[in-house]
Amino acid sequence: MGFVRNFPAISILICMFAAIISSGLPRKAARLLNTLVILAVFGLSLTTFIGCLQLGEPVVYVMGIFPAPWGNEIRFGVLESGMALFFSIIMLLSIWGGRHKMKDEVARDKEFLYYVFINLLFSSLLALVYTNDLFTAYVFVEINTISACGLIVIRENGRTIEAGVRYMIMSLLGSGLLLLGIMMTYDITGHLLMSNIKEAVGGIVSSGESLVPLVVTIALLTTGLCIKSALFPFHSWLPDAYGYSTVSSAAILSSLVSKGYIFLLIKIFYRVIGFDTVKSSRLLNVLFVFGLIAMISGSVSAIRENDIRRMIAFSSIAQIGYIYMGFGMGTRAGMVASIFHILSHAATKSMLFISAIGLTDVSHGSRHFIDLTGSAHRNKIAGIGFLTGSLSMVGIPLFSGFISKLQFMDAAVSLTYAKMLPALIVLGISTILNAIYFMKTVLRIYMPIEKLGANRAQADVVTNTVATPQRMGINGVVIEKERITLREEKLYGFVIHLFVILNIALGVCSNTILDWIRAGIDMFS
Amino acid sequence: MGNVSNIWYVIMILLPVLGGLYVLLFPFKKREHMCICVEAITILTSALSLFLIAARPERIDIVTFVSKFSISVGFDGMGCIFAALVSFLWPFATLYAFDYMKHEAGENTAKESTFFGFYVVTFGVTLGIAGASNLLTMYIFYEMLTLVTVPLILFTLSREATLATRTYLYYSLGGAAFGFVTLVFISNFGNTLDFVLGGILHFNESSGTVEAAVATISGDVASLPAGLMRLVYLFGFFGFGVKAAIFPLSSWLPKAGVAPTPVTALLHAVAVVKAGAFAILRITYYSFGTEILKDSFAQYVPMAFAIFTIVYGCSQAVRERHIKRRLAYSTVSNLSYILFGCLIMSPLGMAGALCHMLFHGVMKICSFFCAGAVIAGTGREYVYEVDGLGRRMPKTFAAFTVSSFSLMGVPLLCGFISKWQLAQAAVDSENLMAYIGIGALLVSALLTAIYMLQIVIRAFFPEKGFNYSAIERYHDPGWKMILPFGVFVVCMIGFGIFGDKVVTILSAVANGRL
Repeated sequence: MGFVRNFPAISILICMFAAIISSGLPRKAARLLNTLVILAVFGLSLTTFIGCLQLGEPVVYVMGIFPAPWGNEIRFGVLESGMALFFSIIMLLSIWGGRHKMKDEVARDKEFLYYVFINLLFSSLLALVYTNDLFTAYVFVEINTISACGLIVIRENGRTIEAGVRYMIMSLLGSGLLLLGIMMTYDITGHLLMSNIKEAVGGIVSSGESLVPLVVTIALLTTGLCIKSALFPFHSWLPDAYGYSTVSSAAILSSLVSKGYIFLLIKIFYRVIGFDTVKSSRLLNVLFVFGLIAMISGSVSAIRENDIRRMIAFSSIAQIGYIYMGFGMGTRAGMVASIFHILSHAATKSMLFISAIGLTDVSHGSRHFIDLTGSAHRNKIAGIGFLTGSLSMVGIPLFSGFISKLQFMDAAVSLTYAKMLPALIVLGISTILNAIYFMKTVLRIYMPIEKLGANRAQADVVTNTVATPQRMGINGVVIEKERITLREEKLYGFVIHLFVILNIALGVCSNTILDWIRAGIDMFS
Repeated sequence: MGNVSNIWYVIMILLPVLGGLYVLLFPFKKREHMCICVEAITILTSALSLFLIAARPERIDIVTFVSKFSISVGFDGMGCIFAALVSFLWPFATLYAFDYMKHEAGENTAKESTFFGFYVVTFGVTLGIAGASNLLTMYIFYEMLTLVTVPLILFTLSREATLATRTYLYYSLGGAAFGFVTLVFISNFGNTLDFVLGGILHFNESSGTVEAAVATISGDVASLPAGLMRLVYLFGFFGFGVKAAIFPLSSWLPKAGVAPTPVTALLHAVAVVKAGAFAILRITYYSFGTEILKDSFAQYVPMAFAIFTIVYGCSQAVRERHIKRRLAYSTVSNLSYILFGCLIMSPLGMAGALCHMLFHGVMKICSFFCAGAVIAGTGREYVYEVDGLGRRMPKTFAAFTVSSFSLMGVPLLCGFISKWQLAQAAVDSENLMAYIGIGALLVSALLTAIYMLQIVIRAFFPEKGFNYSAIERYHDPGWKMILPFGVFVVCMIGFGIFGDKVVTILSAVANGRL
């Protein structure tokens, strides 16, 4: 392993320093720095990942000079480094994919701030993935919240400010609960390092004393992170936050930020409390039920939605439901399925957001379904991206979504009947619902518009005049066809291609990836 | 002929798929060139498939994910039957489509390229379903079939077509999702997904559980209460039953009648819907095995639905005035004949089901083609508009009459043979519900006579004083349309007379001798 041990710490630090430096840099330099940093993190994570695979056991890295009970630690295995690698890929693609929209969405003199936020967010995500210290995790959760909020409001219009405030309120509520949970953990165990807490929790469980505070602690930690990752009853902030922020922000928020919290929750389950203890607390059953409700209600809301971005956002709620349902199964297979779904959903959802923006660009900036008719013919590459994403979401074989579905069903089969049948039936129904809204959209965007030939000019007029703020979403300002340079167009096409390849790779090479995930879970304990 | 390389299976599927994509992506300038190219691909594929049916090389594993999950293709007895059916019909349907699409697409060659491209791709995917030698492969091709047929239904781009396509997509994808549940259970408790006649599950009667017939290498056998496994079968039956248009899930089929006739005729009377019936036959006889399902609710509930659908489809057909939709309802009813045969759960029942699958394919495609010829030639789509056309389009309506008689089950025509087989299987099963099914077959024959003969009679014997000069300008279509009629009529009569030969082959398949 040698020098590679330092890489996770280095990748967190370079992101933080890049954020600080960016605040003093001009727009273009900040952008360049941001790209370089993400590429660097990609390289570092890849090396770490390969190193971990070869080593076959987790690595503990002491930050600073103090040893275990007092100092701060980083601990990483296959899953952590793999997740960091994956996050860096998605981050890079999301930013590149939204680059051509940046000049419409963010004021020119504020653009450097955007990169400050991105760097901060990325460093906090990496820290959440790598850290072995519960309190450090809390600190980075807060950094994450604030930078994510920045990414939402930087668009500076009424909708996003409202969405940002909502996000802030819900998120801080979550952080508050998380902090309470951490406090109670500290209270009953006397530690903040995850490995030490786990030992102490083991003692508590075997002694049978103060079990009630332990359950309350688990509940607080879980609820806090559920709110932050928008599990069903706490999802009200999500559609606006994803729907109206800049396209890169939407892609990053949906595929990385919420996944970062979920990953932290997985770590808490395995490394802080111990999965068996969590299972015996029956809390997982609650997650299971809410996961199932989310799968249905998210999809139903998505069907009723008429705005493509908000539809994709609602679909996220359903997909997060899948992940929590996997947790709720309380088996290793369920957890593997959930982790695979984290990857699959992150890859697919960011692709959908990025493709959707390509479709709306060629439809006078309108996100309303009626105006999107035929847009896939006007922007072919975005159409292909959206089609791939939709097929993956519906679970067509060869795409990543199929493997998720297969894994979830496979996991469900070995459960008790009380969980098996609801899980299977809801998975089936949810597939139908997914098919309804994604296929409806795909048909809509592939419907040739030439048939309307005569009405075309008229339709243009209608689009421009009827564009109420509500319908346009953004201050009622109709965005005229933007100037997009050839280079940016090429970058956009390239990004969509990469996304499609990534998605199919996840679907076809799923076996290797699943093996890595299993190895990673084993390294947790 | 064991020395034929099994790589030909892959070529058989890839040839039409890639050929179709070629037509799609590089549209021809001249229509004639496109037609020649499409027909050449179709005939080549058919020839290849028929050759492979004769040679029957070993199956080929194309991709292996895990030992259980692999994509493998190879013909077994039942696969051969389905492959033979589609390989026989596809070239004729394509030939017919050349003339028909001229009427539908106008002079728009680009639009026609899209149509023919997907039409050819669908051929490959259907052969994939026929050739699939395990459940996963079949499922993958089954989903692909749903997707590649979407542009064909959507072809006219009218609002009606859009709605029909949506319904079709929701139903099919949703159904496949429930079929997928079955796949997962079988892979978990059967230890393999391969198709083996007699099933890969073993029913342990003393404990009332189901376990894999073949244990894994490690020797551990997971078992499951039989009741749950039967419930899973119901998921699979109704999941795949969507494509086979079983009663509460049948409404997509009549709606899909808005598609051009070559699509309704070939896909919605043969390829797509039969793929649904084929999938049900596969899971019943080759995955679950009849041992577990027989004499339980897993047999009775679906059979009740199938019997109801037989009558329901016919009575809806009698009510319907639109010719193509009427034929679509007739398909709904006839598909349930196949399912009924399948649910008798005996080799005889399976042979009857396969028999009806073959013969109904020929009969229904013929009647659809006739209806299409009328629409293309005269633009008349409703039953009350065909008055007197029999005199102006004698060949078309002669073919239609033969197929009507055959559908009704008049002896000496092939429809009689398959109905006879089904009834015989039902009697032989000594199952009370199957006896009720025989009654449904009789009622259905009567209703079929009503809805088919109504068209025939109106065409040949219009009301007194009918003004023939009003339809003076209509005449029979060109040879590209007439040739398929002729071939199908000869087949119907031929199968009707030499039906016992076919039945011998089919019962050999059902008993695992072929």
